[in-house]
Amino acid sequence: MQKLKLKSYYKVLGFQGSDQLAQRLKELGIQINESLYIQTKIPLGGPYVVRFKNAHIALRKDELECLKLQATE
Amino acid sequence: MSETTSHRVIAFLGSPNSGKTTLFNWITGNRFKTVNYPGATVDYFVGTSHKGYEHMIHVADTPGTYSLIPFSPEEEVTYKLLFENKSNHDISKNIVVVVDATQLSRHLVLVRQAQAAGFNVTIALTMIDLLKEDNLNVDLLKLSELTGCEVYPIDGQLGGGVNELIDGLNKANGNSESFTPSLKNLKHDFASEAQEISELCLKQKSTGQLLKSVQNTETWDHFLLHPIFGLALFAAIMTGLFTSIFWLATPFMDALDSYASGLAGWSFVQLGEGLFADFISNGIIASFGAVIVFVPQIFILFVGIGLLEDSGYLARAASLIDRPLSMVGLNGRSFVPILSGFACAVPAMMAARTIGSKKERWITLFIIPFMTCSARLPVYALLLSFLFFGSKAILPGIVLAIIYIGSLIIGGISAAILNRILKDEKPSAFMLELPLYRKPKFKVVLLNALSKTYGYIKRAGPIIFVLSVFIWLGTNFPNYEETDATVKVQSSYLGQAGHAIEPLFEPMGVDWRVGVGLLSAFAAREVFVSTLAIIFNITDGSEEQITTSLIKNMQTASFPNGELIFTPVTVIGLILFFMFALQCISTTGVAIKEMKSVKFALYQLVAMNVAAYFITVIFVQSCYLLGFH
Repeated sequence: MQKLKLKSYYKVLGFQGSDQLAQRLKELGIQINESLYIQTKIPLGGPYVVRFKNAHIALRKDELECLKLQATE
Repeated sequence: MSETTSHRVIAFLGSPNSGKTTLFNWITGNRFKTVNYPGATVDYFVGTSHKGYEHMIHVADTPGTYSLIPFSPEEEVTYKLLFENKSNHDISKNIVVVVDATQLSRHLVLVRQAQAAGFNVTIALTMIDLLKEDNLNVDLLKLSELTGCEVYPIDGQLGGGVNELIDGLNKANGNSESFTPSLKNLKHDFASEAQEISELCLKQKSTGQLLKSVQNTETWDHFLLHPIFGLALFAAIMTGLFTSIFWLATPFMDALDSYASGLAGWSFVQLGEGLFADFISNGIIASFGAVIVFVPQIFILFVGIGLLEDSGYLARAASLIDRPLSMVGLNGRSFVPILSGFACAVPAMMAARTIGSKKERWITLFIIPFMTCSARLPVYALLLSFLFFGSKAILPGIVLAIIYIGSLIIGGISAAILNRILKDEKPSAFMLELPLYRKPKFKVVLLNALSKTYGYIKRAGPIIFVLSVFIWLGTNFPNYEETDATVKVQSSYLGQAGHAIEPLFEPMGVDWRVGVGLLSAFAAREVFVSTLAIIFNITDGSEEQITTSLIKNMQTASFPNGELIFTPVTVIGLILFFMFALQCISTTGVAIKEMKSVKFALYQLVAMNVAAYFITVIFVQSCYLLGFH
C-alpha cells in the first residue's frame, strides 16, 4: 500500500482488490475522481478516518487498499 | 382520523443516521411493535400513524442500510422484507427513502436503487435545518422532477412536514397493487447519477457553515481519538457505563426482587399453601421474578448505549478498539457486547446484532458468557469468603479483580482459538460511518431503550420461564409432601440425579451436594448459594447470617471417610469451574433466539461446560499429586 499522509487530500483513481469491499465503498458514496481527506489514524494500529462529501468513515487499511489513490495536495 | 384505504405496509428505508427512526417515531407517536424477521436476527418495527394525523397508514421502520444488496444481518432484514416478504405484512409498492439533505449525493444512491427494483419511491428529506445554516437549500421541485419522486421536507425536531407526508402516502397507497420487485438492475453504479442530481438541486453557494460543523467534529476527534487522551477517555467512559449498570440498577433490581418474593409469599398464603399454591408462587411467580429482575440492568444498558450512539461517540469507541479485537477474530463492534457481558450476558448478546460478519458475531456471542456477570458475584462472594475467612477484606478483593481480568483473558484466548477454527464466509469489514457529534435526543433514546427492553422480555421470557419451572419441578418432586427441606432436596429428581452422577463430581474433589448445587445453578448461577443453603439446612435469618452459617458448615462438611470436602484446592477448583462454565438458561435461551440456532447454543453449552469440568479436574488432581489439599 502506498504510504498515506495524514491530514492530506487524495483523489480516487479507481477500485481494486475485493469486489465485495469495492462494491460497499461505492455504495457508501465513494466514486472515481472523488476527493478524500485522510483525517487521522486511530491509535493502536486502528482504522483510518477518511472524510468525503462532508461524511467521515473509518476504514481499515485493507479497505482503504481497495481504492487507487493519488495525492492532490 | 379516516380509515386507511390500504392495509399495505409502507417500508421506510434509509442509511444509518439519516433520521429515519426519528421520522418513524413522529409518524407512529411511538406506537409500534418489534418484529423479528423469520430467519434473521435483527428487527424491524411495524406501526400505524398516530391518531392525531388525518389518515391512517401502516409503516415499517427497517434497519439502516446503504444498499439493497445486503452486507450485514441488519441489511438482510431489509432485503428479505422487500424482496422475499415471508412476513405476515403485505408490503406496499410505495416505499419511503429517508434522505439526509447534507448527504444528498450519497443517499440518493439508495433512491435510485429502489427505483431500479420497481418501487414507487417517496423521498423524506431530513436535516434541512443544517443545510440552511450553511445558506444552502434544496430545490425540491427540481429534485422531484429529476428523481421522479414525491419529495417531502421533514423537520425532525418539531415534526413539520410529517402530516403532508402521511397525506401523500395515503393517496399513493390507495392505488397500490401487488407487485414483485426486480433484482436485475441493483448492481448498476448509481453514484455518478446521484452526484449529478445532487449538484443540480443544491441552490445557492455554501457559506462554509456545514464544513465548519464537520471541522468542529474533527477538532473533537483530535482529542477523543488521541493516542493518550482518547484511550484514557475511552476507558473512563466505558468504566462509567459499566459501573452505572450496577449502581443505578441495584435499587430497582432489589425492589423488583423484593416485589416478586413478596408476591410469591402472598400468593402462597392466599392460595391455601398446597401443591398448586407452591407451583404458582415458587414455580410461576418466582421464575417470572427471575426474568424481570434483570430488566433495570437491561434498560440502563440500552439507554447508556443509546446516548453514546446518538452523540456520535459509540462509532468512535468501536473504531478505537477495532484493531486489538481484530487480532483475535473479533471486530470493533464486538466491544460493547463484551463489556455488557460483565453485567449480564442476556442484553450483551442482544447488543451483538450490529456485527456484520457472521463469523465475528458467532465468536462474540460465544465468548460473552465467559465475562464475569453479576450472577456470578454471590457465588464468588461465598467461595472467597470461605478461602479468606477471618482475613483482611482486601485479599478477596484482589482475587476478585484477578477473576475479572482472568475472564477477559479466557474470552480473548477462546476467540483466538475459534478464529483459527472457523472459516470466513466473506471478508471481515469494518467500514463504519462516524456521524457528526451532536446532543443526544433523550426522548428517542428512552423510547428505543423501552422498546428493546420489551423485546428482551418478549423473546427471552418464555424460554427462561419454562426452564425455570422445570428446575422447580426437579427440586420439588417426587417427594413434594416431605417437610424436611434437606431430605426433600436429597430425594428430589435433581437430588437423585446428583447422586447418580456423583462419580462425575468426585474428580473435582466434591460430593453430590455440590453436584446438586452445580446442577441447580443452571437455572441461574446465584441459585448455587441458595441450593447449598437448603442442602445444609440453613434457611432462616438474613442473607449475611445464611452466608456465615453456610461457611461454617462448609468448613466441617466431609466425605464418609472423614476427608474434608471444601478445601482451598476444591474451592479454587469451583471458582475455576464457574469462570468457564455456562450455567445460565437465560443465556442459552437468548443464544438460541439471537443465532436462530439450537445447534449453536448446544455447542456453546457443551463446549464451555466440558472445558470447565476438565480444567477443574486437571487443576484439582494436579494439586493432589503435588501434595496440596
